[in-house]
Amino acid sequence: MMSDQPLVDQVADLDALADSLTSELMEQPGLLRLEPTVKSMIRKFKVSLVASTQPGSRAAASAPSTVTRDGLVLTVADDRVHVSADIATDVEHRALGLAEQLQALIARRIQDSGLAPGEIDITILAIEGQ
Amino acid sequence: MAMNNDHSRLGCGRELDEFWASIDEPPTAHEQSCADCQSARNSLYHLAAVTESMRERDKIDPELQPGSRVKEAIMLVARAEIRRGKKTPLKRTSLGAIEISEQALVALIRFAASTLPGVRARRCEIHADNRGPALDSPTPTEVRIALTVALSSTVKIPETLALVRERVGTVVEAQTSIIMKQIDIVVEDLYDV
Repeated sequence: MMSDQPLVDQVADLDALADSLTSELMEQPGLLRLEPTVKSMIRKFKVSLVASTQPGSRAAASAPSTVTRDGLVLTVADDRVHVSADIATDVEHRALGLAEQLQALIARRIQDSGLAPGEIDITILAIEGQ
Repeated sequence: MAMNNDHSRLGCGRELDEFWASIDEPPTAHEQSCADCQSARNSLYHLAAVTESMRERDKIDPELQPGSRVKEAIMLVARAEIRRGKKTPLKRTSLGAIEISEQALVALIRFAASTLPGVRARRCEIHADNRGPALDSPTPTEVRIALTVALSSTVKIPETLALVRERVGTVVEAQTSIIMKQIDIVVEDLYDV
């Protein structure tokens, strides 16, 4: 159970999970990019700013319950990992089908990490020809 | 303010968190007569004023302003995000929601129309029901579009527009499951080949 884990372990898990999800998603045929959004960028800046200016503060300790990568936001709430992914797809692949595959892949990887998947929302931000 | 550090309690026994939660309310009968509560209220007011003053100072502190590269990166993403427009829900699975941006849908429609010889797609407006389908619903999202095109002067307009409707409907449904409820087309221009 995640709630039984110490916070430090949980944070490490979430960071490692975000990295492995990013690389595994980018290997999927038809996925061109994970698209950064203002929300994911600001969150990334906020987390790194708090960690560098207020190490050891309550804000710094709680901030990593959300981890962001370009186009990917992972949040732990209610003992579950919620994911929001913003993607650009290749027009040669069916966009909706790809989004569903990514949802399933993300859910599997969260479970493989010993965590419980929550809401996995995918937004198709671009469909492009290569 | 007398406090028990282990439990963040005031000397009178009240928890500091509980006291803080009601700080905006008028003092209760107990608070009016309790020296600990009065002292805590004054200290918290002072702390709030100092915090506010530090926050205001930070806003104009040159050392705390974002660098030009950071601003540029944020603005680049912000401008791209504005161009992406509203989002249209496509499906809600047991795992979560799937949506598509207006910009992606417009690009797909223009791409589909422009695959026909003699057709150059221009502007496209989308009107969608943003409530979206229910969980695992087989009912797809329906949208109405208004598409502006330029046609080659060599094509027959009615037949070509029928092909545009068919092609756009087919490609969009294949990619996204969206059903084109209505496709209005305006031929804005004729061009010479």
